[in-house]
Amino acid sequence: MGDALLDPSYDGFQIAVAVVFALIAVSLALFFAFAARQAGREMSLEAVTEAAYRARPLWLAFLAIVLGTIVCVTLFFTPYRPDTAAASATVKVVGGQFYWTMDPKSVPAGSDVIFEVTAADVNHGFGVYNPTGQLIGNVQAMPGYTNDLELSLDEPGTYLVSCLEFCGLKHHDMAAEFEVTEE
Amino acid sequence: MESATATAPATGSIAHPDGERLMAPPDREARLVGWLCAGTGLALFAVMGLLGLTMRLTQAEVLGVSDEWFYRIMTLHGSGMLAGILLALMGGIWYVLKSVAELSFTRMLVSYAAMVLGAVVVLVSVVFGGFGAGWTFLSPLPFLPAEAWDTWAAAAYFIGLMLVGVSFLVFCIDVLTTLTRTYGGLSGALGVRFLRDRDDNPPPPQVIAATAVTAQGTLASAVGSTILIALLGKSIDSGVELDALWAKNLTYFFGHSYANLIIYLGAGMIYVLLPRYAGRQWKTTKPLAYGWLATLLLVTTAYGHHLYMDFVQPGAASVIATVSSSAAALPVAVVTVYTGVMLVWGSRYRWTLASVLIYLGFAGWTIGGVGAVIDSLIPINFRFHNTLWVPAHFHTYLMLGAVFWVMAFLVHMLERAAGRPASERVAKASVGAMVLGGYGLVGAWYASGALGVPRRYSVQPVDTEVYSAVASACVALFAVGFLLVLFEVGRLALAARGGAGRGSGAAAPPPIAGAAAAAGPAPARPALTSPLQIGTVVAIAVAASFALLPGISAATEGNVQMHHLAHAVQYLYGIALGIAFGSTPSIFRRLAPRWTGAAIAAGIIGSTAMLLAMVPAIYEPLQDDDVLHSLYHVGVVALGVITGFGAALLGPTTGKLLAVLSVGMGLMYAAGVTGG
Repeated sequence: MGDALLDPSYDGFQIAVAVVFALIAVSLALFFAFAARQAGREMSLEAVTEAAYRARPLWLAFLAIVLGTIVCVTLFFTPYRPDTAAASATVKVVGGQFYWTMDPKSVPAGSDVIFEVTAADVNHGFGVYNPTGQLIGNVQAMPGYTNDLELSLDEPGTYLVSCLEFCGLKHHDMAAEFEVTEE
Repeated sequence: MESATATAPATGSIAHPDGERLMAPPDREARLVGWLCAGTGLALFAVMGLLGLTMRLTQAEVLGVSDEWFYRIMTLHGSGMLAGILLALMGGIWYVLKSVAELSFTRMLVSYAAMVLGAVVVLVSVVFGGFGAGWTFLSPLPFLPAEAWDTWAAAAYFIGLMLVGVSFLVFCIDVLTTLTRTYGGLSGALGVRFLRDRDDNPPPPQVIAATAVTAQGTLASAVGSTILIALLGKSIDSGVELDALWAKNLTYFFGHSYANLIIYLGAGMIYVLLPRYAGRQWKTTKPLAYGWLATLLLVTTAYGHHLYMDFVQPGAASVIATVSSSAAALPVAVVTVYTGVMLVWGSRYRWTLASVLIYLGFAGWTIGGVGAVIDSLIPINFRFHNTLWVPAHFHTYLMLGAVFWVMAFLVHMLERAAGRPASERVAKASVGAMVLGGYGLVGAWYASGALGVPRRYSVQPVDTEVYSAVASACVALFAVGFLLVLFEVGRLALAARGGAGRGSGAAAPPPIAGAAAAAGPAPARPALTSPLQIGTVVAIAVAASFALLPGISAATEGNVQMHHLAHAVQYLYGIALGIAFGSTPSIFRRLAPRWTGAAIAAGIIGSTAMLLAMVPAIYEPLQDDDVLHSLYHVGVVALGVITGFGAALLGPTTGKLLAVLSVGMGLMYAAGVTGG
């Protein structure tokens, strides 16, 4: 899965997230290693406390601004409320133990597709992988409910649908293919 | 700020020269609870860890475990780990609270026994019954097993988890009741009075932490009990229908809260253990009190990030969850971890096996927290949901955070009892192996998650087996480190049996002022403390019986949810009568506080029986007989009276909380159980 970084249908989103996380994690590890070295030294508690308490509001403000900004920005990019009127195709999806039915089973490339996803029995997860194996989105398939998932399918090829919610004995085998044909 | 040169810590002693005086010597009961909980918890961790390795080796195609057994093992691994680490850290916080509050040893033993029994019942349901729906047991999967298990196994699993919930609930109610009685009610024990400058002598930090955790834990237990009882009801009678979205909300609220509270329990314990090695007291400050108030709120509202991909969930819930999940990082990063590092910095920190693990726990909590915050952002969750990124981040803060603290707790007690630190060579080797192995494991998972590899697959996608092979090798390395810790634990235990340590006659140095601010409990008070409160509650009962009930009863024909709502209102009526009756001075004086244990039992049994009574198989045979039907409804009211009476004896904070949550359980049930 996902070894085709140069393929145009692989947008590198997950890799970028993982790299950012790795940089933060390594920075934190280095900080804790540095602080551990400082732990062996002897300094007056008053001096340490004064410096730490002076820095704390700045640290709080920094974190609050960074996290607040990220949260606010991401809330503009949620997959909720798809524009069903603008969709060029609608695919009805039913997940069951341990199969997917999709109607229709293919759409032309460049389609803005609404997947109307529900479940026949238990909860399933409708995870869509593009032809290079990148997970491009997912939604839960729930008994009694229909979730509308909007995806822009620009690259022609065979897309893989895998179950992303544990659904029982053959959960790992619950997969199907979906075709995006040349325009 | 630096005032002196770097110097090596003194050798031969366990604690920092000033550290011994910062922790009151644990009494015999504290030590016993510590040994029991940490020992049992780590034993469960060891067994569940082996099961984890089995899963990795299966995914790496080294072992050929069948699908049936893989998913059974997965279910057992999740449930058993949760129970084991929770139990160990319940013991940890109890150990550090005992010197500052008169906790009940008997009730802690009851809690311990319920947890162990729950673990055994879960084991039976999985091993002998074949139950394998995962610890998330999302309805209706437990009832559609594709012939992998029988219904009795599902029922046994729910009973096992309910026992785990009962264990934590007994612990929470007892700790919350004692702390609020000792430290001036909920506002005193949470540090609110201190924040409002009305308390010059604030509670120690572990009290504030424990109050926040047990208050939220009581709420999470009520929610967990509701979904588990509803599922148990469906096991008894297949006519019971549960709304899938409702079930998910309750299940994840319960599971998310429990998993989160584990690490927060650990934080409360660390407030006392770390100063012993740093020689600096962890003081209650206003940022700490604000931090725990925020944590109490944010743990409660963050669970919705588990339902981001359920697009039918109200959008506001997802927005609240996003904000809460990120905001929850602030108290951790700005208060607890920040202060911990500050106390260690320049302290000539005494490095022993226990104190190294304490310190490393901060790193695991922080790094795992970053992974969690990333996954809690909706556009990212859209690409990472239920991939291996998820176990990666929670193993970072649980295995490399909470479990490190559990080991630290056990080793701390042993080093103290043995009168010597663990072997430096063993400490270095074990910690090195666990850090390399642990971070290697989660690293392989983070990478797999970024590549879109799903979690909970017995057979992984083609060409990704190598990640599982790397993960397996890393788990094996971690296991070597863990075995070395156990080896050293054994050696320290032998030394302790030889009577080398403290507690064998060595006089403890006098505590530093404030280090063990033990306060006696205030005289017991009923849940309703004034005639006005009693009058108000009686008025609620009257309103329920004359205004609310007839209207609801009229709507019950043909509407199951309204029927259940009518039961909840009858139960509310009973609770109002019970709590008012039990709070009257003459009754309360005769019973409290000798009957605290019975009061807790009344609350748990009353609310559980009320929900179980709504299973059609129980009430339908009675409906054709008017007398029996009437008696049935009188019985629902009686269960309310029992619950309310118990609540009355538990005091203003816990009693009211228990009463409100019990009614809430009835209302939640009515909202989500649509058939029957």
